[in-house]
Amino acid sequence: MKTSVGDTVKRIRFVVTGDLERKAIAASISALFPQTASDGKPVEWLRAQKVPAATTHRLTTSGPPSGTMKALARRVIAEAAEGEDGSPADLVICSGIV
Amino acid sequence: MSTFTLYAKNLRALRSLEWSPSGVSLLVGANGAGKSTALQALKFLRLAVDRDAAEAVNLAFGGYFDLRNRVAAEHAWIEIGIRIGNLDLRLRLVSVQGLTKSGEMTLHDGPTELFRGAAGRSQIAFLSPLDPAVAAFMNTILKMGIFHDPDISSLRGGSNIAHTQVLDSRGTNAITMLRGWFQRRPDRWRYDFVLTGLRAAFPKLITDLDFVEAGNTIAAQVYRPGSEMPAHLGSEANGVLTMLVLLCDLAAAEKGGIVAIDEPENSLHPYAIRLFVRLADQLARRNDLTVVLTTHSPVLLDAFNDTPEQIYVLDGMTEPAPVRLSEFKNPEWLRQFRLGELYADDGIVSNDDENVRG
Repeated sequence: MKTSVGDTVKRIRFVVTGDLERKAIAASISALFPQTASDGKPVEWLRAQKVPAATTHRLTTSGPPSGTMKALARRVIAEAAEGEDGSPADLVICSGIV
Repeated sequence: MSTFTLYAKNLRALRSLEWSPSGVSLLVGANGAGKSTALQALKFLRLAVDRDAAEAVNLAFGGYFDLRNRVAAEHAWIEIGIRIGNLDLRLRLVSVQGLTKSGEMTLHDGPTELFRGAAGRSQIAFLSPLDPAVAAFMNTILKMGIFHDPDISSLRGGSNIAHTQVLDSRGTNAITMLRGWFQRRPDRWRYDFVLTGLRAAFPKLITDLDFVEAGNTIAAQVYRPGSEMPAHLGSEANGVLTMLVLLCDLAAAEKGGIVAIDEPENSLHPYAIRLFVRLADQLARRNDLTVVLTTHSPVLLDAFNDTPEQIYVLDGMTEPAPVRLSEFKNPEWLRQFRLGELYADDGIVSNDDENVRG
């Protein structure tokens, strides 16, 4: 995994499935948490990424994961491993109503 | 290859465009981002050189109204230009209250101004014999093929026999062009290219073509596998006729030429879309063509999974636009996805543009 810009800042990215979460979740959640990490570095709440089509997706316990869930997982892993903007996030949170 | 740079300023959605595509390139963006306008700008340049600015505005943009970018100053120039090597042709239009008032064309060779005046072939014709480089530059502009909205309905009835010189931007004379290529030995490769492409795209539907002349119309017939008698091309599926026009768009290009096609994916099965891209790439390499395609097709984007640098993004924010996808997003991040899937999931650009940027 790559080193993040996070030698100086801790970056948190939400990957979400709905418009309301995309618009509001980072701002809402960030208000409830300290703006510095435990090591004293400031926290940057990145704009949430939305993966459409997963909100009304039906989850099953049998069989392999669906293509929609794989797409969601790929987005989470890609953000943690590489980062859309060239720096991986330090923490990726997948949040969605499925 | 005619490596060119297209410029546009204050033109509809394009506040500032500066684009130098090469090989086969894709232009993507949300609805209304200016993809089709970029192609219309090429068409405008060709028509302005061939005819005059006013007629070019009418034919390329459908008229003068709303031509200026909405956030541009009221009297700001609309500028459209193209540069190949040191030669730079620009047209400036001023639009007041939605109406274009005047047009001026300039031609520069590096810093040296060669021409300034009204647009039109007759205005600059005196330059061409003097300088072969200028003549070649003008010829490249005049031969640019800009294609959109194939007129399948019209093509079902055949093509006008008289329209033999230039392929129409909607492909209405594709059958006349095809027969001409078939009959002229130097152009036979163009016919072969189209027929080979059709056979490959529709192996269950087409083995050969034939032409029938009636009055001032030429119609085409297709031979199906296992069928002795030909069938009327006009009865074939939309995809067959669309593919025929698209292949003609490519085949009509001269060596080193520029071909632009707006949303070629319409009516085509993914199999045919992939094949079309492959054929476009082969012909572009063989004949040093620059082929630019606008698209919303995930299938078309998937064909560029290994070459994201050939995809250009109009994101509505970057100036000058467009920006290469490999610069717009982290290439390593892009590699985690099929680009078509990422595009379909709003991961590149979206009509809801808040979701575009990281």
